[in-house]
Amino acid sequence: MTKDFPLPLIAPLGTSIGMRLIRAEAREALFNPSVHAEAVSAFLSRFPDIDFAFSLMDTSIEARALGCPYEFMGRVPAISANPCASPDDVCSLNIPEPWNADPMRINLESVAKIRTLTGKPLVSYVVGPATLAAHLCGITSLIKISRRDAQGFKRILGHAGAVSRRYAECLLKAGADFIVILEPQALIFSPKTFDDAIRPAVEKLAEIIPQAILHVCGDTNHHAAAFSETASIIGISLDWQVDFSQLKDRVGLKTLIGNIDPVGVLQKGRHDVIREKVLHLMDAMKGSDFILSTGCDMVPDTPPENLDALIAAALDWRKQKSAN
Amino acid sequence: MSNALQSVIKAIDELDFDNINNVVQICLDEGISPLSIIQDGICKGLDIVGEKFNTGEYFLADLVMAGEIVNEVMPNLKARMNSSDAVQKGKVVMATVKGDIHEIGKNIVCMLLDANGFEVIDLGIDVPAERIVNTVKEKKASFIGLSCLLSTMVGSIGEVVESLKREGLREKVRVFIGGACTSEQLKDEMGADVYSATAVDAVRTMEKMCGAMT
Repeated sequence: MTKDFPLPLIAPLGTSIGMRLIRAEAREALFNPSVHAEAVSAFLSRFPDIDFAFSLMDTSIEARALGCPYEFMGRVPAISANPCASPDDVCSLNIPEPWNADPMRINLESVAKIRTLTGKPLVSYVVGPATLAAHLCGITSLIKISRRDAQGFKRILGHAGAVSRRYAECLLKAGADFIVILEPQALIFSPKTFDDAIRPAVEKLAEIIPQAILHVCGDTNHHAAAFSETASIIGISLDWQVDFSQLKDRVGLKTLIGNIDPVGVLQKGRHDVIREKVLHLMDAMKGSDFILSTGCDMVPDTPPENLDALIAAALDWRKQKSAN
Repeated sequence: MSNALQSVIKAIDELDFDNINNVVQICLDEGISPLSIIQDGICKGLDIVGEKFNTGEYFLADLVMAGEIVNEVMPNLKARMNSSDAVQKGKVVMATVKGDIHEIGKNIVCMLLDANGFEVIDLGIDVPAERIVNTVKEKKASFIGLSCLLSTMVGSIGEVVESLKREGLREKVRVFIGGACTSEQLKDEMGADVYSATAVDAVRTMEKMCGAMT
């Protein structure tokens, strides 16, 4: 993925800071394509050395398009009730046509607007099959189904994956270059369940995305090897609990993306600590297929100066290695 | 130990949801007390599940499944217990903090505490600090367990601690935190007492504290 770039690219998941820069709330940015695009534009102007443009992350889009109720919890929309009780319930849901189904339509318009603003590679998101299934069924019900009805569990994942797949097709047409498959619920299940049921559904989704990345946040140390076996994805984005230096030789040709702690280090850390963490990570990943990013989405309250410190450290590292 | 109790342990260890009611009923038919079924069967099964979780053999889904199995039989067992059996180790107010709706971790801790003899007052998700502290006051609870998954909502933990201070309750209550975004560092920053990396750790630490308090 990074073979054309001899030095690590810089791609922190920080677009939410863009909302702060334009003094917009998530409610406005996620529901209004003009505000969304303005936030991304402000972010890219403030941090011109970042190598990618990211749309805002919202893991509720597909579920809301399927009719799940939601509430704003903190700053983000969160699914507040789970309408499906069985595999049949899930499979009876019509796959939304994204350009006719809010909030998919709204986000597609946002991505199309962002595309016109920047020539940088544009990254957008879909949720993975297990994560959408958890929204639809509730995670406890989904776990019970996975243990007691393996075929039903696979049917649910297949249908959920088809929803995200159709949405991903439209995101690509709207201008996204990369699509990150957000699959945090993969962490709940065992690596074996991931291998047997979740991975085939993720692969089916990823096969229509030329540049698909799998993102799972949290402590994925037990799962990372299983994730790296996923076909049709070119990169794996993991959280700060994973030691990339231990993982880098086990991911084959996939790019590792991460994994500075977005809260403990980037939001709360001193600049010297941020610098130390960045340099340590880049040294550890020297020569590997690697993109410097945060382990997960940054908090909008992260001081912009802290992101400056991350970028400065990465640029200094690049400069030093180029000189050598 | 009787074969019937061994079967309860095995059903929980093997996450055998479909068999738990049968094996518990066999215990009851053999005259084993509900308290013994809980302490010598269910809790021992949960210990094994917890250990397997700690060693990476089991995962969160398995803990949730174990919780569902326990929830399946606990109402029946509790209804059969004598009031003298119901000696509680301590009262715990549990909540997912304001602004966060994730409940798996909290529910697992609630289940483990309940099975291990604590009185659990589960306030649910997205719970404001004021409600947590009012419940502590009303129920005279010794512990608060706060679950927080979203890094954006960690400030809600500090609000609970501050609210306890304002009410003059801080020294009477131990505040536990857990969840994906929590850490020892966050515990110190927020003024909480204990960070637990896993549900099992939380229960073990609370049990130790109860022992120290009695």
